[in-house]
Amino acid sequence: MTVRVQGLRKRFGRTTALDGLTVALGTGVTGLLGPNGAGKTTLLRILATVLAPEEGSVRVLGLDPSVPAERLELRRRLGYLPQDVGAYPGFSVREFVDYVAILKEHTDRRARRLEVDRVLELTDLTAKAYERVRSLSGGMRRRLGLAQALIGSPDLLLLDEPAAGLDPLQRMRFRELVSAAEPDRSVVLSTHQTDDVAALCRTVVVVDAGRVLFQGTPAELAASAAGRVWRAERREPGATLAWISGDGSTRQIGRPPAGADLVEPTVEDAYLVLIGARAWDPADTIAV
Amino acid sequence: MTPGPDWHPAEDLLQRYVDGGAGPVLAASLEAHLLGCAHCRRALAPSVAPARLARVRAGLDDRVDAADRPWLERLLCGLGVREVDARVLLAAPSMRRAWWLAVLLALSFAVLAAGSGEAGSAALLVLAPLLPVLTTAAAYSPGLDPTLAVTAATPYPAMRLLLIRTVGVALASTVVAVAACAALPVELIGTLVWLLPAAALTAATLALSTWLDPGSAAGICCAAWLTAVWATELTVDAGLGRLAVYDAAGQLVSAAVLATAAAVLVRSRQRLDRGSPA
Repeated sequence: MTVRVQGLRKRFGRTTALDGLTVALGTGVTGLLGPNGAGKTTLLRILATVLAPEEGSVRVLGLDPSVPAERLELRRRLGYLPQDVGAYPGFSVREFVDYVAILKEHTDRRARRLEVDRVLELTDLTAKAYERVRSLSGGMRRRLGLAQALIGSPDLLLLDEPAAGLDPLQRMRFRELVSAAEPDRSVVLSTHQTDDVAALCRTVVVVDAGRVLFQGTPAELAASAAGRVWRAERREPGATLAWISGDGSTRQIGRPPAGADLVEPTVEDAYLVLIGARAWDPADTIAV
Repeated sequence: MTPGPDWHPAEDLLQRYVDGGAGPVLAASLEAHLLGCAHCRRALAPSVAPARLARVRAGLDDRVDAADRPWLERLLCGLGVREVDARVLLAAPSMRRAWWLAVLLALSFAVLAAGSGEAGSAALLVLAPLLPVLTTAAAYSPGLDPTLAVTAATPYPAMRLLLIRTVGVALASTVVAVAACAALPVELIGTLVWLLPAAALTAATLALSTWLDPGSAAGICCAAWLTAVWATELTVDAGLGRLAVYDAAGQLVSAAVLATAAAVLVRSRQRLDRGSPA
């Protein structure tokens, strides 16, 4: 297992971010889905060794981050894209990536230059290498964050909302980048984009209120909502959520009436069933 | 792709060029031709040793890099600071802000001193040790470093980062403060009595920063210093124009605080690591 955490607890003041979270993740791409405040970012920060839990055990790449020597070794093997990747606005793109490369122990100037060139190329930032960070758009800053995370080809990539602010083409490029990672590498990404999860992830973990609600493949998540999604001409009483789709019919999620026109659920439908049912009707939660 | 020229240099000419024996004029002429002739570039490619090409490329990159480095980084490297340390030292804009803060504070103190006669000089001497404290806190305050999360996830030691930035900013602000003190109407040596207390207060700020945020740590140290100045002025008669806190006893206390703070900092350095368990 790449990541194994057990009974993780973390509070910020009176807010409980993680409430005894337990999960084990293998190689490949894992997507963390959950509403805002679910605990995804806190989990990623703990895995990235920038935050220590109050309770619980953590093993990442077989290493225990609470032991200084193992934490150091882990930092050498991971790449982390925080939710708010800050970059010095006066730096050029190249200067910032070069600076992070130094912090990642790439001390040989020539080797570092090659590595910086490589990650800029991977993130389509070569043409922007000498532009100031302050002049970059939100999507480009996200790519810059991704570039610094890729330095040194880490064994584990932790990406907090990596596709936020990317346009559709950039998102496809991002999918290419992540899916091209070698099979023995691991990527854990937190996202609100259920279609990214469906397209990219081998495993999906749904987190809410600091606990794991679901873990399985995207297909299993989608299948968990079978019989809960239907189409009708207008909103019906059993619907927890309903919206008019492009073909004019109303797509509905919840408890279908007898004889409803059931449709095959997507990952997004299943996520909404899982989270929406808890949020609006606790009695309706699906057992997973 | 536009078609290449009709004329092509002979193979032996190209070979001389590849071997480095073409001379500057012929080499320049051949290079002008090669830029526009894909045919000759293809013919030449197999003869070029990849290792030599890489060496030439690396040399060019070195020159471009050297021209691109900020003057301050070149200056530090010239003074013997490692390139990576100079880059780390100069990276954070908080460092630049801290230096500007140092200059601004020192100039304010100097103006205050110049305009207020003896009282102003005394005020400058009281406030001078606080300059490195305030600028050090500003240099690595979490709220001023947008890259904190990225930095914390790297293997670069938190203690080393802290010390590099502290030494850099404290030295710079001390130089500025010394320059301001030199403007006082007394012997320079008499105005440098604050250096040891300044080092002690800076070290105490760093040591306290392992428990508190740097701003609070600096605030506590500044308050403690001003209280000490006030208390000693009330209780000790150091003579006209002199501050009791800078007497021999005060310097001894400063040395003791410096040594204690350094020991505490070394012992609790793991607490600087944000991923370390509390």
